[in-house]
Amino acid sequence: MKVPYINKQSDHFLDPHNELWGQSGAGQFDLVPTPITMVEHLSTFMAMSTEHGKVDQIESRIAHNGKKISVHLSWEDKTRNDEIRDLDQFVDGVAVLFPLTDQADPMTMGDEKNPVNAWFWRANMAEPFDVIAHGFGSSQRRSGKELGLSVASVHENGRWSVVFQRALRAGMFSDRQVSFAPDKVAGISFAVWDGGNDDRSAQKSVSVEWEPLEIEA
Amino acid sequence: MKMLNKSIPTKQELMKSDRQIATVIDLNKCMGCQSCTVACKNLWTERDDAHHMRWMSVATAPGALYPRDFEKKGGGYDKSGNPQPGDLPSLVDCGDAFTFNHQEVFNEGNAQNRKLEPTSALGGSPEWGYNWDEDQGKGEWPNPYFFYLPRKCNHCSHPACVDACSRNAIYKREDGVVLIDQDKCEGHRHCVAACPYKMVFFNPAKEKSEKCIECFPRLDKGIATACNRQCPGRTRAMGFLDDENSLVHKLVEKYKVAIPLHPEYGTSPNVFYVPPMSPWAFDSDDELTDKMRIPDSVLESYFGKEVHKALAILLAEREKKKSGGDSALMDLLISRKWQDRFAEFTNHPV
Ligand code: SF4
Ligand code: SF4
Repeated sequence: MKVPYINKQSDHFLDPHNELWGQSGAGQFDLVPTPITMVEHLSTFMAMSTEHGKVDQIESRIAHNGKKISVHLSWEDKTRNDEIRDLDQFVDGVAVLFPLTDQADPMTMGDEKNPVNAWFWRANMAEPFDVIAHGFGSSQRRSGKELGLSVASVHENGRWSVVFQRALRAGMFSDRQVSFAPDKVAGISFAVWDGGNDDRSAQKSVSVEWEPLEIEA
Repeated sequence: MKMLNKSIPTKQELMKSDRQIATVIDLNKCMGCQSCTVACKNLWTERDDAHHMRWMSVATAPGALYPRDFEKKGGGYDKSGNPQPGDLPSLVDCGDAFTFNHQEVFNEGNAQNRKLEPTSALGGSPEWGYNWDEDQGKGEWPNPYFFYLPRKCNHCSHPACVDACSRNAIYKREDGVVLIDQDKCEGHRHCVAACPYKMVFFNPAKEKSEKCIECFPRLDKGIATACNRQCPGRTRAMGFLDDENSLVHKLVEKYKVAIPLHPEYGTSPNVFYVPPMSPWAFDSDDELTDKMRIPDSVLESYFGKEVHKALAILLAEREKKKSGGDSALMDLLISRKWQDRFAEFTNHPV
């Protein structure tokens, strides 16, 4: 998908309703429930799930202004689950995943030699996480704020809209954070958790392949 | 920040322990005083984010027990060792965390016209709470019955919680204590669903799961767990199962009078119970029978078939003592010196 250059100030991008989002083409991506046998080694109990991952599509728009890249995501979720009031409640969330090597597999969240970097938002948190993973079960959450990641979200008419924003070039953790450059092809994949469906951990909806990103100059 | 590049440990590695710490609770002596519950609460869960947790609890059996109806919430393994799905208890199931209108009643001069009333942590008047059905039990006059059932994490030899954690945050220490690494836990609650005893509690403020830690900082100093040490009923014994001199070994392995709760859950629990010998039942002519009031089927539903053997041994030994003879087993159960109950864990706290 194309990532156009849009000459607007960064904070405009962080508004999910800003009209500039009309200027970038939207991509629709199919999501599937995590094929749960893939995580049986981590938890036979988790791997019994048959109900997870009901969100089956996500819409994405991505744009940059030369300094920052912004990822706009929206998907249907009739119930807004943004707090844990009782012990059996889960919250909505979304993540975008980027490969840190050419061989990283999005379905396994990378592996020991091929890490992936993710931006992860949860509906009950004001700040996002920046995640590094070397395969299922190894993910490590880092403060998104400290790593320059911002997020904005709205839930309206049965849909979540979330925008992630970060500098195109990674900062001090550049070896373990994705970097984007004009004309460089990068990849992205998506994951959605529906708290109302008890989605959590690997019990989520995922896109199965990297979607190539063409970052326009 | 460290590079996370370790290979993932196997469940077998996480469940391995060199020895196994165990607790025995004599249900014939438990009087439901809740000293164990309070000792634990004061030490570990007297926090604003943990008022709903009782790592140690005592409930009346038969009854809903604690957490409410945990026996109907699944988890554990079937006979072939296959994991079973489980449900998550709610805050109310976990006994709620009431607040009271103390201020209004006691400090504002309303004692004559306002009742002391609890409010649920979810707001409104409570639907259920800890010990809601205390002392109700079952059975019809003149044969009503109940017994107190103290429960805590069983530090199982095959812990479903360890098996279930998608983060591999739960592990057994060398001494068999099962712990949740709070740095690794992300609050997904697979362990809560998987534990058939529902002895893992979710902390919604921290978004982490917590459970009994077997007072490990005390164990490391040779001090018994708070619940065991504070029991005024001398119902409790603790020690390593393989230590032939320990009371737990003698009661579990040698005399075989201490048996686990719900062995059919398949996790090999390490809290063992001396089953209750209830009073003789009356027949319809108000004559005493030679049947105990708690029906065999009820005891079996908690402790499995082994309960009959354990009870037969206990009754026979009690009879010996009653008729003026000696019973080494009865002497052990009386345990005149508290130190005899706790093997190497007899140091004083402080
Ligand atoms: S009782 Fe439950 S929480 Fe405790 S070790 Fe066993 S399975 Fe784990
Ligand atoms: S402290 Fe002892 S006697 Fe009191 S409730 Fe607990 S186990 Fe029973």
